[in-house]
Amino acid sequence: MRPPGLRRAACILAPVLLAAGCAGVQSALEPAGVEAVHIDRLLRLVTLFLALVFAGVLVATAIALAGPHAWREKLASEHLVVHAGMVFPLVALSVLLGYGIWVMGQGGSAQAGVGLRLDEDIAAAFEALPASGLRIAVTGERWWWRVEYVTADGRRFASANELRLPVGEPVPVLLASADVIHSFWVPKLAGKLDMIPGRVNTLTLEATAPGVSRGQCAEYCGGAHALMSFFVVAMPPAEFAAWLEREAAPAAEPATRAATAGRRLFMTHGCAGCHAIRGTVARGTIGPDLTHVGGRLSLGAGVLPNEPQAMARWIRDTAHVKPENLMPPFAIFTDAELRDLATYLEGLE
Amino acid sequence: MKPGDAIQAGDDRGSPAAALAYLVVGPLAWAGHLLLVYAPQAALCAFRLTGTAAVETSIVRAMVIGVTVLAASAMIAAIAAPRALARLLRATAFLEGGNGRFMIAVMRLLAVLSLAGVAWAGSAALVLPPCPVLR
Amino acid sequence: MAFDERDLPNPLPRPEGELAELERVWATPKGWRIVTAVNNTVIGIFYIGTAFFLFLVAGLLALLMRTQLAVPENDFIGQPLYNQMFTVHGTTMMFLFAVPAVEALGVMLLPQMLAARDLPFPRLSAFAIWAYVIGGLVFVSTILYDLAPAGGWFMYPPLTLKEFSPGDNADFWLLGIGFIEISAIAGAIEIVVGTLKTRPPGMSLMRMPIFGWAMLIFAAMIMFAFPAVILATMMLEIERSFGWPFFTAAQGGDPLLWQHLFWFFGHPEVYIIFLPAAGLVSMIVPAMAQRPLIGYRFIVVALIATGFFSFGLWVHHMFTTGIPSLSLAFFSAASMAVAVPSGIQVFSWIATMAASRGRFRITTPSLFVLGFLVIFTIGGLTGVMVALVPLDFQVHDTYFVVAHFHYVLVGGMVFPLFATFYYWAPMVSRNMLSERLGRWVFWLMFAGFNVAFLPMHLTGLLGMPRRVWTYPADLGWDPLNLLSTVGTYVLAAGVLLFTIDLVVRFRPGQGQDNPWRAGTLEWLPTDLYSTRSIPLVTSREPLWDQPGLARDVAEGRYFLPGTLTGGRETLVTSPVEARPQYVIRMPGPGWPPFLAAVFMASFFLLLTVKAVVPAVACGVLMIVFCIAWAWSLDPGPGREVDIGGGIRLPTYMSGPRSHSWWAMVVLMFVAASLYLAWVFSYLFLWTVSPEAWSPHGAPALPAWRWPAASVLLLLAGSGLLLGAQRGLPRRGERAAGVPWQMLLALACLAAALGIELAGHWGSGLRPTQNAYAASVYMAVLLFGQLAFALAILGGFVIARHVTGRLDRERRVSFDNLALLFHYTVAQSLLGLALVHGFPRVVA
Repeated sequence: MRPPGLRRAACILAPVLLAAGCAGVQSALEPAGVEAVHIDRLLRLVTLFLALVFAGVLVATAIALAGPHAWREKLASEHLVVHAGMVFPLVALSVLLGYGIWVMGQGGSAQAGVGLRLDEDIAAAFEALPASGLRIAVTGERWWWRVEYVTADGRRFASANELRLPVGEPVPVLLASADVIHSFWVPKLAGKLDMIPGRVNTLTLEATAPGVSRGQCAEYCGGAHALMSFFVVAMPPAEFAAWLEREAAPAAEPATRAATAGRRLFMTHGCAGCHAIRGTVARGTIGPDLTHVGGRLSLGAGVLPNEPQAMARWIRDTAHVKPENLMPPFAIFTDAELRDLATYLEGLE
Repeated sequence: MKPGDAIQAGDDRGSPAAALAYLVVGPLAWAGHLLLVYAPQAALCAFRLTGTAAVETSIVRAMVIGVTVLAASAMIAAIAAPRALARLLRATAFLEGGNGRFMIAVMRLLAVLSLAGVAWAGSAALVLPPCPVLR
Repeated sequence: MAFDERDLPNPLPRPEGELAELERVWATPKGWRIVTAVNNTVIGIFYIGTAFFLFLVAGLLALLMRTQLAVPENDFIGQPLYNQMFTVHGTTMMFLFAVPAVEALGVMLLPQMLAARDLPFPRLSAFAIWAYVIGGLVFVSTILYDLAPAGGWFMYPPLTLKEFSPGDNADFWLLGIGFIEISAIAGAIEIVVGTLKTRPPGMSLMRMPIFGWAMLIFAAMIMFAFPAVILATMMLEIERSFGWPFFTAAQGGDPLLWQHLFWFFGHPEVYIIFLPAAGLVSMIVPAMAQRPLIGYRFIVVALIATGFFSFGLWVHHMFTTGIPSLSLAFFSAASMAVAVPSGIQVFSWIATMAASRGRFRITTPSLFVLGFLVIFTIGGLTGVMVALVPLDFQVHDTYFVVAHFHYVLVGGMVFPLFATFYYWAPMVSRNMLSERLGRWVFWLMFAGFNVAFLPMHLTGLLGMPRRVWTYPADLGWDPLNLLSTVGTYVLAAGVLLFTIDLVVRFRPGQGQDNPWRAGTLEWLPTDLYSTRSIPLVTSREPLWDQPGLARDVAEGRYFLPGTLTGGRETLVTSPVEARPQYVIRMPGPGWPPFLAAVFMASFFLLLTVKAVVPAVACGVLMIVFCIAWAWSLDPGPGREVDIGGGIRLPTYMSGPRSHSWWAMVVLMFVAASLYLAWVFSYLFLWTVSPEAWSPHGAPALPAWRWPAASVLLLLAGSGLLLGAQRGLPRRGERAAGVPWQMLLALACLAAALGIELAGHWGSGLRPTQNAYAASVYMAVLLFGQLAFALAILGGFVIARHVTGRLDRERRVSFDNLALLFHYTVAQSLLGLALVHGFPRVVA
């Protein structure tokens, strides 16, 4: 993910060159989704045009200050105000506005109008979508993402803090909120769309190439807003189909003794009150679904890498890893117990 | 001439409210236009009273075009006939003397800018469907 | 037009003692009694001083935040404190620095530019300023003891509702905003009446300095923008304290209602800050060019157009909320429309620079103006980018937007403010600020600003959202953030250097006469009484076009060279053509405005910490001091006076010519905007949750006879007051019926209010039930609020009559009561029709 050194230098030396692209997995300048590609094109064109306008203003100012008398005299009249200050902006803005509106018209329109349907919960909103393909719902929570998939054949299951998409297929993503306003934003794939209590918005994501994108909450939602991220993985359709089958299935049985001990700890120490693991007695819905937590790219909504030590740290020290986080810290576990728990959870791929 | 003659005590030659209204006739029409295109469109979409998208589209389009034509013609009329407008608003007294050219120029320029705003907003309805969010 | 000596309105030599008398009348109170001062140049310094101090505090917070963000995963400032810091930074900069600072410049400069002796309501200014000083300082201090709000300066519910922000912190935000709402409205009244009624004879609207136009439009925008946020803050505090669910989706409310109201204020707010600054630039550029502004009328057009269009793009801040794309397009169009006037102004300034006599003088003020031009142009162009809806989908709520609005606000307001400090300091200080240090200040600020904020455009496009206290390494943001932090320190060094220069050199007192050889009236020789006499103006740059004006004014040869009534006074002229109408007798220093402000501040503060009983006591004391203050006003007709040139003017005025009448009309516009914001809220909530509406989601409305009774009582009240107006006695007499008629009119109003309340309560409707119920009771509350004000005002007017201070001529207090009363009746009739009619129509 680290940009090559040269690019990094370019970032330091020439921040003005928007097009230089010091982009990472969260950059709007390296689009990998249909909406993001449209916007990127608009951005580059508009930036170039406005840079020229700015240069024009600078030149005019320089002439006004230090130009030869004759040039200055030419500028010194109401004609300049009329032509450069009024006629030119009116023409240029007409063109820019037209282009902007045209790009808006290219937006995903299959779910026309779902965005303003009110007081409907996610289930009803799912019903309103064409039942032909994959549908996803993401609910913003403080401070993580609840994810639900509905497959083309109507199976429905939960996940969290990560999205997977088939490349080349427009997937409607329903956006809702469980508490305060959040905003769903994956810059590489599309612009952001807010998650507002009482409303369900729909964003169509269509990845143009396989790869990982990082998303982050873009509307300040209090407390750990800065630590509310997620990853989106775009996969070739066949790979995606296989993944979907695995993801829809219940959790794997623990394979080792440590993992079995971990599962017992999970079920007996209160974890199951908040978290669900399909295929076990854990059916809590307050926190993220952990059925396949081991297969995700990150822990704690993009805060930690997904590895056993991180898992242990998260469980014991969650209040420091992610301040104001609503999961209580579990200092009751011994180091050995933590290892067992982490082994179990990391095994849930 | 004594300064005492140059300036008379007393009231303006007309109503100050009329003078202000005369100056901002264009922006007032612009504001009315925005209200009359946005409010019904937003309300209609909130309720989806009319069922099908086709009916919606034609209703909203007809409404936006109607309001836009109305507002634009009012502005064009004001630009073309500044004195008639002054008579309408009972502001003719202010067009006499040194203030007149200033008043007319300001009114006209404001109407031109407002006209652009009205035309821009109005033409969007020709391109975009009325209710979808298009995301 | 040239005058020779014989032609001037007042002859020489001036009578002995005239000047001494003027000085005595306008003397500033000494020692700690300075807090009782009301003179605009004195309180203006407190005002701008406090604003600048708060700028430094909020800037320091920014410096700390940039330090935190210098490197990824930094733990210099923790999450809870950081969240409070950016909330306080934004709130302070927008509400407690920017608006008050430009208003302070209006207070300082406008009367001087208009050669008025003071603003028309000096005590109102003093009251507004002290309320602001106390409120502002208390608000920023909350950051020191973990009481600061942490909901962002925009305070979006539901995050700011009790459920998600349980402490008193959010209430302190609402408190801080309450102060600035009050002082902004007071300032707007002052400035509207000041620019329209206290211009010097001959200064018709088309000769008014551009700053006057800018401030007039600024004040008009406050009249229509602030009420929306006043209503929103009232509703938020009511929901927090009493659970009326305006913003709770589960009960039919909608978080977007807050966003509509907040941004209906918040977007114009940006231009409320920018327009006065642009007006100042339009004053400095001609002075440095030694040429009149090219395109004066174009600039007037640009200012008016900006004022209007800025109200049509509030949804601009809601492009990502999922509103239909066509609605977004309407607001995108308006965002484009508002860009054109800025283009007009920029090229008007460039044309004027090009027209310079010789070359455009490069002084410290001109450097800041040029810096402004460059920075603001970039901000304007990125403004076009965010106005394009699809681009906004990406950059909204990212560092791109942080960069954009800092370019607009720091470029558009802070740089002109510094230009102003350097340019106008000689008007109020014995020393000028250092030109040599000034260049250092400028280059440090200019370079620092661009190094800090230019990279942020890229940081945002690379995906960094706003309002994050930390960020992971390796997303490509690290070097850009470090660069921004370095730039911020350079910028801060510039501000520090300026502050040092200010401390060393700024000494309030009589400044130099016209060091820049400017053409406008604020550079006339002045003293505490402003100019010795009030000039007759025949051009836009009187000091350039009317030779000898400064000398003649200073010798007292123009109008009103002394005091004619033995007290403070200034000249009132007609709003368009500036014909002399009368002489205002103005109040001098006094304790009541200061004490009223102190007790108002205490009232709100105690209420915030839920100390209800002492709060009420302070509220009562505030009203007592307001009454004490108002009692000395409305002096009644005095003799006519000769201001010179054979012009004889009355020294008292009532009715539509009076400045007091105008102020009340402005206040009525404010009240009407507030009420229309409520009408909008009611209808908006209905479109969101029609199912909550009566009769389906709430009890059936009271029977028709209830509102009918209210209507009859309201009309009866208006009729009674009209009767009282007819019955006002001749001078020196009393009319036994008048106080009873007024009392009865007030009783009718109270009864109408009571019936409306009882009707809804009797139907079983409770305000906590759902959003419909809350908005119905909100209408009752808004009615009650005016009724309460009318009760106090009515009691006051009755007392005036009883003590022989009210008659057919001496009647300003009665006129004000009548205006507000009839307005209240009209507002309530509209409210009754909506509340009782609308649900029946749509049912």
